[in-house]
Amino acid sequence: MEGKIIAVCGKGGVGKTFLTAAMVKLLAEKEDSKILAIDADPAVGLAPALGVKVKKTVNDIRNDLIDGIKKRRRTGDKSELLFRLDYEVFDALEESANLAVLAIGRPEDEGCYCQVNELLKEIIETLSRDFDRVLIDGEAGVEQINRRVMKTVDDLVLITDTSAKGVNVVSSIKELVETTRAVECRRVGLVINRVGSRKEVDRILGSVSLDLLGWIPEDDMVREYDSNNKPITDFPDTSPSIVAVRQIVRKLAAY
Amino acid sequence: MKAFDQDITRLREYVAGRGEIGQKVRYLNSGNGEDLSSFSGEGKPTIVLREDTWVELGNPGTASLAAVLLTENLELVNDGAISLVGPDIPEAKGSLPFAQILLVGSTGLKDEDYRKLNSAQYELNLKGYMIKSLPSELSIWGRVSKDSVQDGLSFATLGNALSDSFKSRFDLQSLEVIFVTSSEDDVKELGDISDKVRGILGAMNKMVEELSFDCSTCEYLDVCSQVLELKKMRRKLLESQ
Repeated sequence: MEGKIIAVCGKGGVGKTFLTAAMVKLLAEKEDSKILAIDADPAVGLAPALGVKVKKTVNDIRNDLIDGIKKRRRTGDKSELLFRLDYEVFDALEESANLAVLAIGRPEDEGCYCQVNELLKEIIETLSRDFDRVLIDGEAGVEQINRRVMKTVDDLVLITDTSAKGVNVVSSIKELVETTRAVECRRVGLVINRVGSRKEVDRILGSVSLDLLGWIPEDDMVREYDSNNKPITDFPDTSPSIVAVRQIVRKLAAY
Repeated sequence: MKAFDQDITRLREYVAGRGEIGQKVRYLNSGNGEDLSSFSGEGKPTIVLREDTWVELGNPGTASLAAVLLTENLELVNDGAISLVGPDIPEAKGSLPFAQILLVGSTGLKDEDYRKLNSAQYELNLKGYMIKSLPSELSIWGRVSKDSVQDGLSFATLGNALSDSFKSRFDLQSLEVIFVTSSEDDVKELGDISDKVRGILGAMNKMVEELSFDCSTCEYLDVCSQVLELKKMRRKLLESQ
C-alpha cells in the first residue's frame, strides 16, 4: 500500500469505526509491519473495537499540562514541553503486538493554548513517521483532523451508508477539502456501507463525484459484535464485510 | 563549576558501598575507540514497541534518574570509565529501574553550559535504543530492542556512545559514566544528587527564561544561597541587561 496515512471520515453512525478497525485488523496481519491506529472520534470507539482499553487520551495530557502551566508547576519552555509531550504521548499509547492505539479524546474546552495544540500535532506527526501504516478514525468534520491530529494525510476515505444524509455529508466533506484544504491529502475515495444491492451503489455514484474504493454489504454480524461489545479484531475473515474491506485495502494499495 | 565536587566523591562511596552490601558492581571495559557504527541511528530516532523490546530502563512505573555532574577538577573524573551497579542489558529482560549519571571534567565549559550538558544526554541517537525523557524531572525512559541486544548492545555501548556524543559536542577533557539498575531503592538513594541537580537547573532556567532576579519571591533562594555558580550567573545576567 502506497498511502501510509489513511483517515476515515463521514457522518456519525455510518460505520467509520468498523471500517477503520477492520482495515487495522487486516493490515496488522503482516507481522513485520508497525501499525498506529488513532482514535480521533470524541466517542473513543476505535479502541474497544480493537480490543484495547485506553487509560489516557491526548486531551487528558493536554489538560494536565495546561493545568500545570497555570499553577506554575511546569515551565512553558518549548523544548521542555516537547520532551514532556513526547514522553506523555508515548506513555498514552496502548500497545498490542505490532499495533499501537492512540486516543485523542474529547475536544478541548474553551481557552486558547495554540502552542500546546501545535506541539501535540507535531509530536503525533513525528510519531507517525516511525510506523509503517497510520489509520485515523475521524469524526464528521474533516477540519477536526487538521486541528487535533495532523495537517496532512495520504488517503482520505469518506464513508457513507445508503441514506441521503450520509451521502450529503460525504459530498460536503469533499467540497470542503477541495475548496478550503481543510486537510491536505493526496487522494479522496468513497466507501459505501450497509449496501443491500448493487443498485444502491449505482444510485449513490450518480449523485456524488468520488472514486469508489468499494462497498460493504449489510452484515448482521457487525451489529451483533457491536451490541455485544466484541472487538472487530475477532471478526471471522470469511465474513462478507471483512471480505469487502480486504478488497478496499487492496484497492488502496493499487491506487 | 565546583558545586558537585563533594557529590562526585560521595557517588564513588555509594558505588563502592553497593558492592559491600552484595550488589553486583562492575567496571566495564573502557571502550574509547570502540566501533559503534553498527548502532548508528543515521539521524533518525527509532521507535521500539513493547513487542520488540528486550528491556525497558526507568519506565514510568519505576525509579529513574538522569543527571550530569560537571567539575573543573579533572582529577575527580576517570576519563572513559563506565561503572555498572546491577544487571547489564543482555542479562535482564523486562523492566529495570535506571540511573544514568555522567561525570564531566572540563576547564573550558562555562557554568551556563550546564543546562545544555543536561539536555544532551537525552539526544543520544542509537539504533534500537529509544529514549523518552522528562528533563525537568531528570527522568529518562529507555527501551532497548531485542535486535540491538543480539547485535551486542550493552551498557558499555551506551556509555561509549554517550562519551563520543558529549566529546564531539562540548569542550571537555574527561567523561565518566555510572549506571545503576540494581533496585528502585538504589536509584532512590541518589535522591540528594537528584534534588541538587534539579534545584540548580530550575534556578538557571528561571534566570535565563523568565529573566527573574527578584530573590525575595524566588523558590530557588535556598539553592542559590548554597551554590556559588548561581550567584555568579545571576550577576552576569544582571550586568548584561
